[in-house]
Amino acid sequence: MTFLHTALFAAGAACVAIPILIHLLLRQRRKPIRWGAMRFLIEAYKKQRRKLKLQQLILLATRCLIVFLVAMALGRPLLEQAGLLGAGQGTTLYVLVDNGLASSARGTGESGDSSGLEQSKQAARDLLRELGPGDRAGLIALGGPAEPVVIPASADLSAIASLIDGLEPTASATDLSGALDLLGAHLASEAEGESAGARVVIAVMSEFLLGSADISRPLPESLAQIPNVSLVAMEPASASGTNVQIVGVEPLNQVVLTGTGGSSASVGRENVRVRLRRSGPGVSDAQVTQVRLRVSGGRDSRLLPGMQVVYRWQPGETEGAVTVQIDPASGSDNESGARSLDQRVLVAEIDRDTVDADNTFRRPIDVREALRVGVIARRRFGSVGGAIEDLQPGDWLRLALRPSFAAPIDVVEIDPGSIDAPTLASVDVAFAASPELIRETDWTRIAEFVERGGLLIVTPAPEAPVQLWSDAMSRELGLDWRIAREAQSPDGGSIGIDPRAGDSALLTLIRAEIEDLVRPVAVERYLPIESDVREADVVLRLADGTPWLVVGEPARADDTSGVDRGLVVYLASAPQWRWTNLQATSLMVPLVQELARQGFGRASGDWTSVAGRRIGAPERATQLAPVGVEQAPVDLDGSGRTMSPIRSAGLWEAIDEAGRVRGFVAVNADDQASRVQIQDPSSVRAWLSAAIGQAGSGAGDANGAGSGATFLDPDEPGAVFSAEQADSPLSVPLLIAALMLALAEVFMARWFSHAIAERSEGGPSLTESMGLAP
Amino acid sequence: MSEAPPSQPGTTSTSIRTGPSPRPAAADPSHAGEHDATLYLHPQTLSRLGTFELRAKMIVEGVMSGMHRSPYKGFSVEFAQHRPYVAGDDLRHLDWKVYGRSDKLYLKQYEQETSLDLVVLVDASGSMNYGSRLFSEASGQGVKTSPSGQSEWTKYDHATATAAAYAYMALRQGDRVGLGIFADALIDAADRTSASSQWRKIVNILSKHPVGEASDIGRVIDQTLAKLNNRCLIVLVSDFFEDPQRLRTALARIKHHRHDVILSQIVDQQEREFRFTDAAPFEGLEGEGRVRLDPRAIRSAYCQAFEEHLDTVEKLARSFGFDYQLVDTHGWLGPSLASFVSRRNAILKRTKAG
Repeated sequence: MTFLHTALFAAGAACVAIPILIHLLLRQRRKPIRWGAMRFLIEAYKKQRRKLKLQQLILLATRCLIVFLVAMALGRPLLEQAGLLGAGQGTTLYVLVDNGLASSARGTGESGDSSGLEQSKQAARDLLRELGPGDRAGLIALGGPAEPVVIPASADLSAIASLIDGLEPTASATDLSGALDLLGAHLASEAEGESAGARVVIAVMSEFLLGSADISRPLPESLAQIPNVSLVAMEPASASGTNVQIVGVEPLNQVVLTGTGGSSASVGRENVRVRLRRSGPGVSDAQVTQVRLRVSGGRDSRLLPGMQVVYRWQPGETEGAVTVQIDPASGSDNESGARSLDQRVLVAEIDRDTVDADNTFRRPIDVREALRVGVIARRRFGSVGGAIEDLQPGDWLRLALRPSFAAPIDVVEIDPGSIDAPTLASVDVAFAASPELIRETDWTRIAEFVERGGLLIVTPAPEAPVQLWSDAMSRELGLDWRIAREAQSPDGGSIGIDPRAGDSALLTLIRAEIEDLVRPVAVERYLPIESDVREADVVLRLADGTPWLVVGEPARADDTSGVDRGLVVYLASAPQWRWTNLQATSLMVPLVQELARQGFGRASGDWTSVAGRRIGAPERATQLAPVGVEQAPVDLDGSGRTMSPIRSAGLWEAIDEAGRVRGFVAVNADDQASRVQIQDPSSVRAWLSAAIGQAGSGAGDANGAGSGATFLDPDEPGAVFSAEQADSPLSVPLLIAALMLALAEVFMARWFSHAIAERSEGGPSLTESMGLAP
Repeated sequence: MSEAPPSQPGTTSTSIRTGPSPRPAAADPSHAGEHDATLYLHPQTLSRLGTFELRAKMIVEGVMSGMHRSPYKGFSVEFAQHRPYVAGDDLRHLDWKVYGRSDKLYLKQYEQETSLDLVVLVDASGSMNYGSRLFSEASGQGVKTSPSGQSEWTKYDHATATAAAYAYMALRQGDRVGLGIFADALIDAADRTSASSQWRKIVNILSKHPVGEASDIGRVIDQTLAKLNNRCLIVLVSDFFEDPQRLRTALARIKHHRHDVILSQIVDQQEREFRFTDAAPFEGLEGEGRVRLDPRAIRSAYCQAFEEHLDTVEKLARSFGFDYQLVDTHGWLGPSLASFVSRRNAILKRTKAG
């Protein structure tokens, strides 16, 4: 049995000894009365002794019981929890333990170096201990996505305590919303079952740092309609340390092309930008962060010289970036076979601070000899040559892709009428210069190619008066574009390109010169996208604002993998004289080269995922095995993704059925989850209260005896079980019982001692008149 | 009350009062009894008693002439009647004249005037040391404590006052008065006499304190009867916290010796009513030990047992033809004595008339 006020009950129960003590003390202190007619007294006493003893015992028991009942009433026993009011009617406690990334922050509590998770686990264990034998408990780990460890609730509290002990911090964000949704659905189903009417207490064990609880985003009200639900939580942390995190590692080239027979020497060094962020109370101070970047071949890695830089934070600065030059091809010759993969892993590290999991960031990067680009265009028989006016878009593209023999791009001719899967599988990029010739069925193959991480660049058919091909393309690729069927000509005959290039990463390397490069370009015809295009998808616009170069991502059935794969780039004008002079300007080569390189890098995905998601793996991989960690491989489903989310940060090897490594997948900490700013308790309480459909006063009483969520009292965690039962009917019956018993005691005491008859005769007691009464 | 006891005339008119057990004055032992005697009889008591003549229930053989009539035909001066001789009669009392005239043997019988032999036995057992009445209230003169320092008016105080009253009355009549103080045996005694010094002697004996022993009336009666060679009026002043069977035996012996008895049972009001309210240990005055109880709970049973005992004692007294008087220590001594003597006179008159 549990009590709302255990201490009060203990003190009250100890008071049961008071009647006994009074009896014993008075027994010793009462002055004896010297009596002459003792023989009659003894005679009467012998006659009455048994009856008197029984009466005295009854009186003593009654008095003790009165004190005990009062103690019980003060202690507020929670009998429902003990199952005394019927099976299944005890309290069901759902413990939601925050093991998200922010929960691993140290120095947030009073206990020094212990993490928030440790404190949450301790609070959860304390709360479990307050439960009685008739109560049940469930457990949800909040490390995103929320994991129902024990759902439905179980009566095996010790097992749940063990499971709590075993919880480890994840690198993912705290998913309280998901947990509440999950719990809401479960409780809704239970509300219709045998457990209807049972009291439910949901305890959120979290320090509510900003990374754990973004109170600007309201929680779902999935529990609002569930009856008898109360929500309690730990007090938000009152202090935190300063945390610096690596937000991203961004190589300028998504794919490093070494050229035929290339080596590190021929490629040179690549610039890699490491983005940093810091949070916590130390933001207002200056700070130094040392960033180390290394290239890993996978299982083995080494830190190359010259790859350490220092970033000096200015007071108040929260975002920063450093650029580190590395030799991506350096890698290592190791025994893992990664050499044959043309893949390296960039690993950025900073010093240990409040949160560890975000101090390391891994980023796989492709290192290839050459990029294979397939040009889907009408094949011209004979050599390319003759008048420049006769060059078709395919010709221009070939020239732009391979302006010299040293260019690390291999061009593959693809006949639009005979597009097959093996051909598409052999290329990295497909240029559709004659889209009108592609059959609808072939668009399906192209869509599969894109979905596997291929890049498709499409230009209008230069000769077709009506462009009918776009319908099939949009449909098969799942694009929401609606491309016009007839080309348009700008007023005045031609129009220039808006030099203000978009923020697309595709033009990162030429952004500095883009204004000069686009100036000579004149567009005389274009086939616009009639539907709305997101601003972020527009790479270049015409001078009148019409999107001219647009990127689009094919729709996926499930985009939770965290890896964006496949890309479609649409150039609204065919590189042909009647459409534009682009092919003759200095923009043509860099534009096509960058579209191919950066586009492919983006299309193929960076194989970097955020913890807490199901992650995808390179083609033909069937398992993901963690690198450097003793852990069993994770099987992949048919779509090439893990069956369950990966919550911890680390590097994974994608392994095919033959056991060969197909590539690497890096899982990094959620950069939004490691923000360690503390939050106002009243705001957190109001935020939590909304989840159960109650207002929850945002100010003042943090423990809120009224409606809404309440915070746990660390010294008396059991109080929460009846805090929402402030008007619990249990104490009232106990008090009434004690009162009735007290009345009965008065009557019994009078009756047993014949005091009523005596009083009726009047007069003070003789002991009093003789001064013998105490 | 204008008369003093025979032996100390003039001493009671100003200072006689009811009070505790008297003590001889330390400064002048020779006058202790005289002084202490005044403690036993309250002026009210003596004034009431002075209007009555103490008449014995029976006429005893005595050496003193008085107002008492003897039922026995003795051998004194006034002839009463003749009766036939039977074997064993004393030949000295044969009327030879009648024998000479009628040749028949008759004895002469005479009616004598007798005086009363009064023997007062006062119980000094431990139970007599109980009293719930305040001394200051009982003394009637504002004295708060007895000379021994007790603040309560005990049953023994009341018993000695009663005994003194009887003795005073008898001595004033010229009767012989004897006194005994007893517990489990006679503690002290004064032989019967009507001498002028008897009053002082009685007062001295009454000054004995009660002792802690239980009373043994049977043994005391045996000791007393051994000293009595003529019929006496025995006044037993006690609480009679005695086994009724043993009391019956004792009274039967007295009856056998043809003595008359007055049983004066002294009880305290608290003993009868038992009006305690708070639980407390009760400790026996005769070594019965200690018992802790709730008085309110046991009162009914106690009172029933006590009243039954009183009733038993009274019935015992009545069964032997003895007089019985219940004396409450909370009442004045005078009215009870007056009532007793009045009742006794009425009985005597009815007897003479019959």
